Amino acid sequence: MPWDIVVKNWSFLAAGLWATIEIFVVSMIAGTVLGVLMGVLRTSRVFLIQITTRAFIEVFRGLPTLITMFFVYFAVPMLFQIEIPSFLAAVIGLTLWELSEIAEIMRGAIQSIPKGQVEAGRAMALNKAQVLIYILMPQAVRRMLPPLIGVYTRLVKGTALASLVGVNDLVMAGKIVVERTLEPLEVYVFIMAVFFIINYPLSVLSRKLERKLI
Amino acid sequence: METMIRLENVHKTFGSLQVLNGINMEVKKGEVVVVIGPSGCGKSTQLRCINGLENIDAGRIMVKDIDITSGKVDWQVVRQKVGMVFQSYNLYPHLNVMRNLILSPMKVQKKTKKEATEYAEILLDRVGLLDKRDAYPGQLSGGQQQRIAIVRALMMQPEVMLFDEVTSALDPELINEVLNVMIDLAKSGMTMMVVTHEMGFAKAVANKIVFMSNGVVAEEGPPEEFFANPKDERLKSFLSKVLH
Repeated sequence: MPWDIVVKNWSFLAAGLWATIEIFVVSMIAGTVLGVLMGVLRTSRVFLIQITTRAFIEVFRGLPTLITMFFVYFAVPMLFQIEIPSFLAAVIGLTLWELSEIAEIMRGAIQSIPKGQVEAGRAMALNKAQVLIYILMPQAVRRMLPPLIGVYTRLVKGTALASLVGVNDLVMAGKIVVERTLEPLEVYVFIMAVFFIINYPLSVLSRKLERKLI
Repeated sequence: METMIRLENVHKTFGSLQVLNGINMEVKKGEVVVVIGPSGCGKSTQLRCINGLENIDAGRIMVKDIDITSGKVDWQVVRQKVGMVFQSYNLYPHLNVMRNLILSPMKVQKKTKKEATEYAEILLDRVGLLDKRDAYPGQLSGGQQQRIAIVRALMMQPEVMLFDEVTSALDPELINEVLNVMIDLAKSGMTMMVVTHEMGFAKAVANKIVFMSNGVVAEEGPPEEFFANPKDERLKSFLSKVLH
């Protein structure tokens, strides 16, 4: 097999890989921050907050990420007469899905903490924010780490969709190289290896944490 | 004597269940009031109302001169005066003993870490657990955890302590180590309101025993009289079951 195809097209593929990593990192950070926030709001006792966050989460968890991405890339620009670059559309689409997943994990983790913890904190004169920050969040974060990493591995896989809204990511770069060289085997084996190399350490980490934290 | 806690005609329902049905009670400074009664009589609920873990439907609760049922009470102020210990300890499992103790003094009372730690060491020593300062709650026995929980409440230098069946979850051989701490505390002059099934404790340190039944105070009095000469029929039947 002519493995030198990957080597010959390295700078092209590397640029795609870099774009994939950028999409992953940006969505990961945005989705985590927003998801944690949304998860906390989801546990609010204010009905209006509860119902809006719940609706948001249900919608974006249920939609195929590709559809969200297409909507952001093709439909939103028409609605608001703006232009959304494909990189941004990909990131928004992935982030909306990811933050909904993380919000649900966060909510579950907070609600799984025994009621006595909140009561102890309140009885010890902490205010609501302090109970959340010093008592609930640290315990919730421990519980949510393994499923959180699960979301990250799915996010890595989800980045492949970015090519469909025109991002020159690894998948797109690979496709172009295949079209040029007509050697799909080497190129796709290379792409598979890259995804495996990114995701495998994550799943190992998840398993380690699961053992350590529980 | 100054009144520390006063309940006036307190009513509370959970759904259709009437839990407190017009409670009147008073705890004076330095008093140890023991509340007994069959399960479901509302004694724990009453305790939880005093530091706002439950809201009441009608009536009034005073903590010193603060009406905590007025609707605009600063709970952070009230809860520093009223310490509470729970049946299930409720220590923070992610923090070690010392961090459990100094969290509220530092965050609420703005003490420095040094001040809080020094005070914690004094109290830990008093309950014989200074060597556990770096342990996590999960590494301690139930009795040790409950003693730490008492210390945690004391860290705020409260004026009243509420004890909600604090020995009920303990193995029998661990009960005394907790009761001894409570007895020492009572002897030191702490005002205490204790919901318990430990009649021995009640006899030993209570100034007043309150018997609750169906959400009301059915009988109250000093322990000698209370046990020797019960008047209420429900109390007689209750005592015949718990005293052996």
